[in-house]
Amino acid sequence: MAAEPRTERTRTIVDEITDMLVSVVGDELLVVGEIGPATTFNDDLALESIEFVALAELLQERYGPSVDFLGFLAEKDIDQILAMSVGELAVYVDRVTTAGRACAS
Amino acid sequence: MAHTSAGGLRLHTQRLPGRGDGPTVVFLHGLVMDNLSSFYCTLAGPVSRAGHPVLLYDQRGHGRSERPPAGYDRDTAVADLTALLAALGLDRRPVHLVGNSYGGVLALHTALRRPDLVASLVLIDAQLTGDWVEDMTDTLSVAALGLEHSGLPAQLAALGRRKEARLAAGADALLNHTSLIEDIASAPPFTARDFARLRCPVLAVYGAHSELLPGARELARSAADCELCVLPGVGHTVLNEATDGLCAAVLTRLGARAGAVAG
Repeated sequence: MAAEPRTERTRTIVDEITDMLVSVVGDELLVVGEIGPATTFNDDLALESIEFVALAELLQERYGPSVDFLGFLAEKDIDQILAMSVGELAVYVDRVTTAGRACAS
Repeated sequence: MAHTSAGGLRLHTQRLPGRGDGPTVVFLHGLVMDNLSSFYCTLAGPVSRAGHPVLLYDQRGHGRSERPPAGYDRDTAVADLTALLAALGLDRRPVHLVGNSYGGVLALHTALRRPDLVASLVLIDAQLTGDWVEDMTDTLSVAALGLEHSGLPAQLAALGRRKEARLAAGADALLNHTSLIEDIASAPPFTARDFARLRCPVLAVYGAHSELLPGARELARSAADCELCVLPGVGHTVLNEATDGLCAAVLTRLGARAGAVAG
């Protein structure tokens, strides 16, 4: 199920998401163990919806408005989103920001 | 991180853009286990996409807002909202208030205390009449006692139920380490006279199986301009289980009012 990040860029995004998660949840998150591409938001991290809202805000600050959590919510409900893995989110961020750059050029 | 300092308190806020300069739609979430994410994940997106600017915030003690030991009464909630609107420059014109459950109680209280601030109300299965204050504080007190004496958060954590453990710990902090229960218990119920004093239009959306429906019917009888929308097949959990019907009712109401103002 977990999408394995294939590129250097998605691996970088996974690392950045990990840092963002620690800043949102706090050091408590570190007891879960190492966060990687296969780590899931709900089952592994027990992330609450409100924490995902905060994470989405950080992602948008970092990657721009094409990382659109509300648009994402129009397609999937929050439970489906929280069932994703960090790697899957990284692939999504990579896809929408790459598409954004292609459109801009 | 989106925090706004309002009246000396750090409140977690999220704003979504609208189009044009229509009134902002402000969402007020429910009590203890709730926070702005319940509206963020349901109505906020559609309302913003329909062109209305949106403000969501975590009430004091809830979500990612600061949790002071006191100030969980209705008047302080109105003061928090007033300070927040002023801090964001949204106090120059009335706003629409959309409140779910206890958030509806706070929205209604705001409209009674500060009618100048409120363009319209949407109340979603809010507890308006009867012995609900007693019922709710009883329920909260039992929950608080359970959390305090059973060490429930620690037990859940030991079982690997991290999410439940974290939610229980948050509820424990709010119920056992703030004045929330006594503040709520001290509030008088609304009366028909209160409802008759409402100057703004009201949309009340309730579940057909909700125990709170009689209060909404009394509101609809007594208020000058109140539409009651009863959604079939659902009880108190209108926001999560009848999201589509609720969303349609809210958008119709906001659209119609926006049109009326523009015309």
